[in-house]
Amino acid sequence: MVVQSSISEREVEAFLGLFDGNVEAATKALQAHAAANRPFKNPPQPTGPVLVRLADVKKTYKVGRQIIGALDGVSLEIHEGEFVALTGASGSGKSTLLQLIGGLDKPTSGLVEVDGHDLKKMRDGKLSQFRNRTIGFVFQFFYLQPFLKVGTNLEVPGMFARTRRRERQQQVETLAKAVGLSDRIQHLPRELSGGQIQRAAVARALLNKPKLLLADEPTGNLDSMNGVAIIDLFETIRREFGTTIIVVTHDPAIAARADREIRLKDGVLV
Amino acid sequence: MIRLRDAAVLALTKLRTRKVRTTVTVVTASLLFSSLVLASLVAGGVVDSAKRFTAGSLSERAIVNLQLFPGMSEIYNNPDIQVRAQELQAKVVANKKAAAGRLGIAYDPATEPKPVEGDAGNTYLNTESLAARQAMAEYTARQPTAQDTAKQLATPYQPKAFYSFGASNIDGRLKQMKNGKEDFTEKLDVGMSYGPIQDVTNGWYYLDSSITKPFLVEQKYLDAQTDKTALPIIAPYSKVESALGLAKLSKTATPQQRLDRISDVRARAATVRLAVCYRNSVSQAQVDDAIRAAKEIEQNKDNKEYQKPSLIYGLPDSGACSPAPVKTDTRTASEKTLASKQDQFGREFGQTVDPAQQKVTFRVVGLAPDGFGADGFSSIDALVSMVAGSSLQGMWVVPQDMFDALPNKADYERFLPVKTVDPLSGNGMPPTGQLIEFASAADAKRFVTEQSCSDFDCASKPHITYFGSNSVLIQDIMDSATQALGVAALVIAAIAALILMGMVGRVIGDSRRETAMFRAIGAKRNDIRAIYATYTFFLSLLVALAALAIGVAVALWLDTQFSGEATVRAQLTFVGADGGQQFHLFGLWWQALLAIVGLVLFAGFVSMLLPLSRNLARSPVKDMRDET
Repeated sequence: MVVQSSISEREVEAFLGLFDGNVEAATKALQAHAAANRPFKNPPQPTGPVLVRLADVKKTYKVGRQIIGALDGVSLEIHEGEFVALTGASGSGKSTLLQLIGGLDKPTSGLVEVDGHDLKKMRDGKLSQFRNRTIGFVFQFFYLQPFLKVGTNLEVPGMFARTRRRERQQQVETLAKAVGLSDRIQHLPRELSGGQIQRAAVARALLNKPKLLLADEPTGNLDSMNGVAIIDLFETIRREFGTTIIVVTHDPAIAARADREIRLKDGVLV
Repeated sequence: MIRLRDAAVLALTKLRTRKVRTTVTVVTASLLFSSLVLASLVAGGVVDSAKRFTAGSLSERAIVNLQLFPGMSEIYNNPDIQVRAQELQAKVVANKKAAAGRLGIAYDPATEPKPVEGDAGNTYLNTESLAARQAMAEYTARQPTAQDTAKQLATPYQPKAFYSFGASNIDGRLKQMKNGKEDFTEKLDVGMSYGPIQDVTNGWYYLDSSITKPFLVEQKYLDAQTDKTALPIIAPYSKVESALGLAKLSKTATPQQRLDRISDVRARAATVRLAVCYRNSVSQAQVDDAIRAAKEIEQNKDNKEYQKPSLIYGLPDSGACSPAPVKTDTRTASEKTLASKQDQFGREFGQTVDPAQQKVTFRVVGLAPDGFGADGFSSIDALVSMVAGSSLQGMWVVPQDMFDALPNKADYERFLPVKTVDPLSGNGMPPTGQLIEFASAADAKRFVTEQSCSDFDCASKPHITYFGSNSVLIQDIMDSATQALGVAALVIAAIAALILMGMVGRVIGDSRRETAMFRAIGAKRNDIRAIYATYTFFLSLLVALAALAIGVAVALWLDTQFSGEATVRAQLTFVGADGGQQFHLFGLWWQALLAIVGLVLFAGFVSMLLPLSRNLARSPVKDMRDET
C-alpha cells in the first residue's frame, strides 16, 4: 500500500484506521512511505499517561548584549510509550527542546514536567539523579570512552547510580545481547564499527532502565543502513521495555518511523 | 557519590591520554621533588651514621661545658683591688725593710715594682708587683667557681649530673723527651697563646670516666699494659700515629688503606709511651744558665782576660730530668753568706722557690679525634666534623678514674687543675670548666641559649658550649634540615603545582565533552570532582614514585662514591666506634619522605582546583554542541 502525499490529514487518519490500531502494520506502511521519501502525517497519539509535559516554554540565550530566542511558547505532551521525532531546520530549537526535557538546561519561563517532576524546581544534585534514573541519552557523537572496554563503557551510568558491579555486569550482558553486541563487550570501542558503537551507546543509555530515551541526531554519523538499524533498535526497545523515545533528527525517513513528528520552526511548533 | 573504585576506573583512562605530555610532566615534577628526596636521604644517612658511630657512647647524651672567663679589665682596672694592692704594698715594703735590717742586707724600697700603674683615670694593676698579685689572688678566691656557678644556673633545667673538667696546672715548662732524652740544644718556645692544645707539652685535661670511656682502646690492650705508674692519657690520633713511627698516608691512599691504618693504630696505640720533662722556672733557669755558661766559656777559651762566673751549673743527665748540677762554685765565703741571706729574704716574701723538675711518662689508653685541619679539609671533613664537632677533638685527656687508680697518684699532684681562675696563668689552657649533663638535648639547648654569654658579655656571664656529645648538634642538624627542606619544599611545591596544573588543566580541558556527557547521563558535580581528584592523585602518585626512585638512585650513587671516604673520616672522628662501622650518605628519614610524598599529593590537589572549578562551571549543553 502506498500513502499518497497529497492526501489531507483527515484522510491519513482514515487511511491509518484501515490498520484497526495495528501499530506494527501501520509502521510498516509508514516505512514504505518513508522509503519512497514521501511526506506523511503521523498516526494519532497513544492514550497512555503523559510522561512529558511542556507548557508555554520559552528559552532565550544571551549572547553578548543580544538576547536570542530559542523556544517561544512551546506546549506539548508526550505519552508513555510514544516514539516522537523532533524535526526542524538547524537553529529551529529542537536540540534546545530536547535538553530542556532532559533536564540539561532550564527554561527561561514555562513548565517542563517529566514523569511528574517540575524540572525547573529541581536542584542540581536531584536533577542529576533524576537524569540518571529516568532518562537515557544517545548522542550523535557516541561519546564512548576510548580506553574502556565496551562492557565497562556500558556500565558508566550504573557507576553514577552506585549500582553494584555484579548487578551492572548482568545488566550489561542483557543489554549487549539485546543490541547484538554480546561478543563485543570485551573489545575497545575502536575495534567496533560506527553502527556497533552507536548500538553500544544506546545500550549504555538503557542501563538504568530509563522511562525516557532522548536521542540527539543518533544516526547523524552513520550510513543509511546503520541508521535504519538504530531506528529498528529504538522500535525494539520501545516494544520490549516500553520506553518513551524522543529523537531529534533531520532525517525525514526516521521521522516517518516515529509515532509522531513534532516540527519546530524558529522556536515554535508548526 | 561515585564509588572510589569506579572513580579510579574512569580516572585511569585520563592517564592514558596525552602520554607524551604526561611523561614530560611526571619527569619534570619528579625531578624537582627528587631534590628534596635526595636531601632528606642524605641528611637521614648522615644523622643515622653519626648516631650509629656514637651509639652507646655520647650520642644520646646532652652535655655542656660551662667556663668562666672573668674580664681582665674587671680585675686590672678594679679600683677596690687597686686600693687593696696599695695597702698590701705598704705592708710588703715595711716587712721587707724590717727583714733586710734583721738579715743585714741592703733593701731599696724604690726598686719595689709599683702595684698600680697608669695615668689618672686609667690606672691598672702591675702584675710585676707582689702586692698587686696578692690582691688579685684575694679577689679571685672570693669569686664563685665554675662548679658553684654551674650548680646554681643549671638547677632549674633539671641536670642529670655534673662532671669536673679541669686542665692540668703547668707552672713551668714541659718538654718532650724524644727517645727518652731531653734535647738541650732545642730552643724552648716561650711564647704562649690561647687556643687548642697542640701537644702534650702544653698540658692536658682531666675528665670523668663516663665521658672518656668511648675513647678508650679495647680493654685487652689496656690489660696488656704493665707500667701502671705511667700517667694514662687519651691522645689525638695523628700524634699516636706519629709516635708509632708511621708516616702519614698520602692523599691518594684508598679508603681501605686508610681504614687499615686506623685499625693498626688502634691495635698498637696502647704500646705508645711518651715522656716529658717538667721543670719549674728556677730549674729551667739553671739549665739555661748551664747552656749559656758553657757557650760563654767556649767562646772565650782563648781570651786570657776572661773570668769565668763564680757559680757554674752543668747540664743535667739528659735521660733523668734531674736538676742542673753545680759544676763549679768559686764564690767566697762572704759571697755565699750574702747569697744565703738573700735567698732567705726571698723565701720570706715568696720570691724564691727551689728548683723543681719531674719526668712524666704517659701511656696511651685511648684515642681522641684530631682537631680541625689536622689532615687537610674537604667537604667530607666538613660534613663529618659538623656532626662530631663537639667531641674531644685534638685533646689530650687523662681519664679521672684511671688517674685515681694510680698507685703513685701523689707524684702528679703539682699537675692537678686549679679550682679558681688564675688571670696570670695565660698558658694557653682554658680555665677549669664544669660539665653538666642534661636529660635531653632540648634541655641542654635551652640552657645554653638562655644562660651562655655572647661575645659581648662573656666577662659577666659564663661561656657555655656543647661538649662531648653530638646529640644537640644532631638535633640542630635535623631542625636545620627540616627548616631548609621546608622552605625548599614550599618553593618546589609551588613550581610543581604550576607544572601539574598545566597538565591537569589540559586533560580536564580535553575532557569537557566527556564531562558534559557524564553530567547528561546523571553524574553529579561531586562525581566529576571525585573522578578528577582520583586522576590527580594517580598523577601525583606517579610523580612521587618517580621522585622517590630518582632521589634514591642518586643518593645510592652518592653513597657508593663517598661512603668510603666518609667512613674514614668518621672512624678518625669517632675513634672509639666499632671498626667495622660504615658511614653512609643514604638513610631513610621516614618523616621527611612521607612529608614529601604528602607535599606532592597536595601540590597535585592544588593544581586540580582551578581547572576543575572552571570545568564544572561550564555548560554541558554548550560542551556537547562544541565538536571542535
